[in-house]
This record gives sequence, structure tokens and C-alpha cells, in this order.
Amino acid sequence: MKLHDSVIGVLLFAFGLWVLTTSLGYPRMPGQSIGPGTFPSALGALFMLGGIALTIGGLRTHRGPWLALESGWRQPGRLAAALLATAGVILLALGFERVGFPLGGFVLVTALFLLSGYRHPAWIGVSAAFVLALHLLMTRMLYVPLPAGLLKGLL
Amino acid sequence: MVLQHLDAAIGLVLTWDMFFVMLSCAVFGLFVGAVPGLSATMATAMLVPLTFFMDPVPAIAAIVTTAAMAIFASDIPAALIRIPGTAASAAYVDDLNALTRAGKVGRALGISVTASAIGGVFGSLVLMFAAPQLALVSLNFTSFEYFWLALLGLSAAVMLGSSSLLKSLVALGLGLMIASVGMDTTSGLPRFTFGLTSLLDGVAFVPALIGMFAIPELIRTFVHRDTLPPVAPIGNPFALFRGLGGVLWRRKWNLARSSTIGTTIGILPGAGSDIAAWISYAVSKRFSKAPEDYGSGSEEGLVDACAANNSALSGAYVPALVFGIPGDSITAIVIGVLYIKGLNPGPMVFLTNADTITAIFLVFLLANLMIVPLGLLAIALAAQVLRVPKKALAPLILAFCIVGSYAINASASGIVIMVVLGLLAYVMEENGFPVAPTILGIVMGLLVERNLVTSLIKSDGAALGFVERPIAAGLAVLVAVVWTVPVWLWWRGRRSGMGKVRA
Repeated sequence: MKLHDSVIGVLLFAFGLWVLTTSLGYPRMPGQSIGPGTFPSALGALFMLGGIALTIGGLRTHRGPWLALESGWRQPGRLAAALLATAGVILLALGFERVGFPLGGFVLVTALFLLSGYRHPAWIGVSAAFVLALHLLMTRMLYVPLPAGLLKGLL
Repeated sequence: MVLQHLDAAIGLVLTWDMFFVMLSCAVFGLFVGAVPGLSATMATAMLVPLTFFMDPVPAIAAIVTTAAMAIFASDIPAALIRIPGTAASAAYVDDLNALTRAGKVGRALGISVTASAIGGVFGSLVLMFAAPQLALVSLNFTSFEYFWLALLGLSAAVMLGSSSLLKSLVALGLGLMIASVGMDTTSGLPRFTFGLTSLLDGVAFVPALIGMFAIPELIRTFVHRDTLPPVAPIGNPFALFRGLGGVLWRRKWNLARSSTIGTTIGILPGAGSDIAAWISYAVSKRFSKAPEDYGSGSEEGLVDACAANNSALSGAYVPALVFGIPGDSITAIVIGVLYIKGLNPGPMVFLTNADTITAIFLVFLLANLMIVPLGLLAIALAAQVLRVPKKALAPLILAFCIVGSYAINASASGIVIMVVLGLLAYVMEENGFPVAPTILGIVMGLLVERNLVTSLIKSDGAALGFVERPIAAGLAVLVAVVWTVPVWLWWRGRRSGMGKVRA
């Protein structure tokens, strides 16, 4: 996923502007000329300058599309796997306590196996065994309080 | 002092109980270090309840051995799947992984295990023979010196980047920006939290680290399947040392330099093995005859950074033992254990408990020497991972990443941070922005901002205050050199290029 340098420059400039304006809104420390906004506002200014330099540099030297996607992104199975590994994980995180790691992890890993072309039923077993082993290892041996969620009564 | 009490100390160390404790903790440390998301600090914290039932020397031995092994073991997932187990491996993760992809995983991990052991032994020897003197120097560091030291570390980020200077600077800025999120340490004001209470403590570092290295790799595995380079497995893991002697002999000065840098940084309170590895790697690149190899499989960079991170671990115990000031989070835990065991840290502990302290020094040496045989065993076991196709491994790695990101704060917000920053890292890498400076910015952001603000308050806003103290002035000159030399070299190269065009 390649963006034209000038597009990145414009986005960076806008981000820098937001950081700068937000930081300047923070109150200064009593009796001081500095405050919690001093450091981030310097960063905001840096982003704005960097954005301008990238935009100018991109327009001068780099000819090409505004956005270039590799062929893999156009294949539905691969796109779905990437979306599941990112947006799917965020959804799982939002309901992590309720669904729990054993069930949520099993569904996620199995779906990713299927989307990656591993369709033999044995992979469902691999997925279940791995997630269960990981859950037990973390909760019983390392005392990480992973939520059991819907399988709380069973585990 | 050490030599006078050596006999008694050997008697305390060479016991079956000690052997059992150190071996068990070494295996535990290797496991925790090799799992992305589980840190050396977490491993040592988990050991504290067990140390209640131990004598002082085995208690400290348990912690020292676990930490040393965990720091080394974090290199294993870094090499095999490009996910650093701890922050200390983040500086050279690309080199380790590039060597693995080039079929040199044995060489990469061989360098890692031996350089870690050598650096660790060096740091231990410094701790044994020069602890009180060195601790006195470190006490002279104030916010001014720390600010310059942090700036020196950040300057390393620009040198680390193999892409353009501008993109490296932007990447560093993004890291510093991520570090700014959360409650301001000086005023207590929430910044860039969007009203989310989970962000008040800032962006958790471990999920950020896992996300920025793991998620881009996983996306590439799922999407760019046809273009992934095959990974050569380790044929015979025990052949790791083949040709290694020559590499280490050629790099003997690198080992000495990076062990010294690592120990020195480790001694400074608040600067741990991660910062030591970054700075040592950057110094190595600056003085290397092949700086272009850094980030794409440099053995020289690996030697430097691996030696530095383990030597820093020993160095951090200098202020801890002499003044009770923690050098990093692990030594903070150790200080607590020392108090529980009646070994109150301070200059007097070297006189009143000389035998025990000497035994603790010996434990440091032993723990670092154990890295070689046990590290070899861990590599042999982990190498089996390479036999599984990466495409089949990816969903399992993702499950590990979810657990690792959740584990650090027992909060699902860690998982969200992992994915969001992972997506950012993917877009950055695809567009030529290096991720390493961003990670460094996240690691050092708090240190640089806190010391900048404190120094500005102390000097009442006067810039001269930053260079009035001799150590601060020396560090400022060093920072100036680091920034001006590359610009001068670029300008000279440009001029000579223009001259050639004219001719």
C-alpha cells in the first residue's frame, strides 16, 4: 500500500496542525512560561515542517499514482484475512471480557487458517489445541488473568 | 575487597541448592524472554514471592539468572519471526531477521548468545571491582545531563534509519508523540487521551512494540504471500559456533566498546538495557566501515548491541547496591528483595555483608556464563519453529500477540493499541519510513520530555543552564558532533558530486 509522498506530506501537515492547536490549548504551569503543551507543540511544528518538505519533495521528484495497492490486496481471500487480523482483532478486544480468549481466539485462529488455505479439519484441531494450551499456560502457570468469557464454567 | 572474601563466597555459591535455583530460573527466564509480550521485568516480579522462602544469595541468584536469560532469549523470536521478545532486542531486530532470511539464523543467534555472555561477564567484572567508584560518578548526573543523554539516544535514531533523514526524523517525531499521550508527569494534565481512561497511563510500551513489529509481518504474510522470501531452517543448531570465533575476534574492539557503553548506561539510574542497545548500535554504525549493512543483516551491529544490553543489566546493579537507587525496573525489584533479606543497600553493605555481596557478584558471572549452554539449547528447540510454513504459523503468532498485549496490564486496551500501532507501522514501512526511530521515540519520549521540562524550570528558561555543568557540556558537544558530522558529510558529498557534473 504505497501512498504518494505528497499525499503523506499533506496528511502529516494536517496532523501537525491538529497537534499544535491542541497543545497550545493546554494551560501553562503557574509562574512558568512552559507547560504540558510545550513539548507536543514543538512536535506539531516539526510535523508541519516535515509535511511541507515531503509534499514539495514528492511533487518535484516522485511521479506515480496517489495510491498504489499490491495485487494481494485485490484478492478477496487475502483481503479478508488481513481485515480479520486487524479489524477482527479490534472487535475481539472490544468484547474480550465477555467472549473470552478461548472461544474468541479459537474462532479467530480457525478463520485465519481457512482464509490462508488450510481447510483440512485437522487444522481446526490444531487451532483448538493451541488456543486452549496457551490459555491454560497463561492462566495457570504465569497467572495472567486471561478472561474465559463464555467458557467460564468449563475452564 | 572481592578477593579477600572469595573463599567464603565460593562456599555460598557452589551448592546443589544454588545449582537447582539457577537452572530452574534460567529455563523460566528463557521461556519468558522468548514469548513476545512477556518482559524480563514481569518474570522477575513473578519470582519475588518465591524469594521469600530462600536465603539471600539464592534469592538474588534467582532474579539475576532469570533477567539475564530473558534479555538474551528475546533475541530468539526477533530472529525467527521478527518480533522482539523485549525492548532490548528492538534495536537490532531487523539485522537478526535479515540474517535469518539469508539462511544465517545459526550465525545470527550464535553471535547473539556469545556477545550477550561476553557483555554480561564484562558488566559483572566492572560491578565486582569498581562498583563504589562508578556509582559516585553516576550521582553527579542531574536533569541537564539526562536531557543530553536522552538527546544523544534520539540522535541515534536518525543514524539508525536507512531511509531519508526527513523520513527518519518524522518517524522519530511520531514515536515521541505517542509517548506524549497520557497524563503529563509534571502537571498531571491528560493529553491526547480523547477522554479514554485507558490512555491516562499513556500508550503501553509492550503492546506498541509487539504491534509495530508483528502486525506488519502478519499483514505481509496474509496479503503478499507470493513475494515472501523463504526462510532457511537451521540444519544443525549445534554448529552455531562455526566461524564465530573469527567473527568475534575481528570484532574484539566492538565488544570492548559496546560492553563499556552498556555498563556505563546501565549504571545511570533510569537508563536500562534497551537504551544501552540502541545507543551502542548507533555508535557502532557511526564508526563502521559498512554502515549500509545496518538494518539488513549487520553482524557488527549485532555484536555491539547484544553485548551492550547484557552488560547494561549488570551495570544497573552498581547504583542499586551502593546507594539503593534502581538503575532500571528489575533492580528496583531487587532492592526490595535486598531489604527483605536484611541486606540494606548502601556503602556499608560491602563491609557488613562482604561475603554475601561477593557471592552475589559471583552469581552474576555464573548467570552470564550459563547463557551459552542454555541459550544454545533454547535455540535448538526454537529452531523447530522454522520447519512450519510462515503462512500456517501466522494465525498462531497472532494469538500469542493478543495474549502478550493483554498480559502486560491485564487490559484489552493493549490489544487495540497493538493493532492500531501495527497498522501505522505497516503503512510507514510500505512508504519508506523506518519503524526503529519510532520505537526509540516511544522508549525515550518520557525521559527526554521530563528532563527538558525539569531543566527549563531549574534554569528559569535560560539555555545557558544546559551547558554550564562540565558533564552536561561534554554531552552537548557530543550531540552537536553527532548532528553536524552527517550534515557535513552530506554537504561534502553533494559538492563533490556537483564538481564531477561540472567537469
